[in-house]
Amino acid sequence: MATFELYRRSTIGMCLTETLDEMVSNGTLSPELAIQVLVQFDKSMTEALENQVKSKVTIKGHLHTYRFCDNVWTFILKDATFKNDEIQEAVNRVKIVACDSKLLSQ
Amino acid sequence: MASNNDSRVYKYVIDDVIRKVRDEFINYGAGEAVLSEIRSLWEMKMMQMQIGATSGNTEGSSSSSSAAPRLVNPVHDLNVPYEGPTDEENGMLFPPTPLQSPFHTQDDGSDVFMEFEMGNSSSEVHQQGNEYSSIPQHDAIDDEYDYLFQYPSVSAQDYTNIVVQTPAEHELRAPTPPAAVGTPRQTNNVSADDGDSNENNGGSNLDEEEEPTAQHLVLAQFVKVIRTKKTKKWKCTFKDGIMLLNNRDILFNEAMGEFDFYFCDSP
Repeated sequence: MATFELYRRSTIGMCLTETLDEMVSNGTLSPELAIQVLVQFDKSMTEALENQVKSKVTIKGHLHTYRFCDNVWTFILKDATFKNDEIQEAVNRVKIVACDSKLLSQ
Repeated sequence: MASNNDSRVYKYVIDDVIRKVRDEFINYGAGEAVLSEIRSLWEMKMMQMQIGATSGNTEGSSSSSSAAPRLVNPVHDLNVPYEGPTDEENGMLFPPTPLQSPFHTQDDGSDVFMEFEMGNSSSEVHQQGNEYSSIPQHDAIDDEYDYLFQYPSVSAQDYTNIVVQTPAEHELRAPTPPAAVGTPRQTNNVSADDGDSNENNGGSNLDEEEEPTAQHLVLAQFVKVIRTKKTKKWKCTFKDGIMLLNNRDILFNEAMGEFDFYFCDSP
């Protein structure tokens, strides 16, 4: 099953990475097991976002930079707004990193 | 800070990960205690991040306050001699003298990592005093134009380097851009309403200016990316994403984006 390591850069992913890093550093955990945990995190996070989350968001903004490389789109937006039923956020600059959803279905 | 629903999703993810790696831990002889420690530390860090996110910092400093807890080891000032581990392997890998470039303290948050991105990547490892010898491999785009994301630890990247040697190597991982990326290319994934799907119009002016700092981040999967030539609008469909905006986490299942892009056609 294909997995994206993308979500490791999220808050929950970074917390897990730091946790594993600490435990590997002090010898509590082997690097191999740490990798297994990260890979499982990739799967669990992907599955949770697909099945546990129902929110829809609209994004508007000015595109400052775009890049497509290795099936990953990167957009840098300026003066962007994000809206859904519950929240509305405005940011000066935001980076969007998006992997190809078709790769997961392969 | 995450909403109640998002917190529920995070708890689900933590439970799911711990449950599904339990067998591996037993097979490797690591034991339930290690698993419990992972869970405890992970949850504690999540709570710390959320507390930092709700501390009422401004947008400019919020990223620093939220990034500060992410640092695992104290940061060393580059202006003083480094007295790291005496491990012979480390001694061979790291330069004997610290970098001369100024080093921002952790109060600057993400700026710290941008400095390291431009410098010697091994010095990042060097400064954190950890034992990892591999050059960090960043998951997403991390070329010379991208100073935005640094990781306080190289461990995840080192794990990535080691991935090919583990039993999980047979699993396909979706490729992420390598550290050094050349000129961006347009592919068939871009289609336009009026048929300029593969027009090589030079793309953005990546080669001419540096990418600005972005404190906010969206991680998602794209379903469709369309650019209309006449209106110069990009219309994108994303799914299954995590947004880090204004120091809060927002999850979404689907997102529709409309972006304006003004490109001056050069002769």
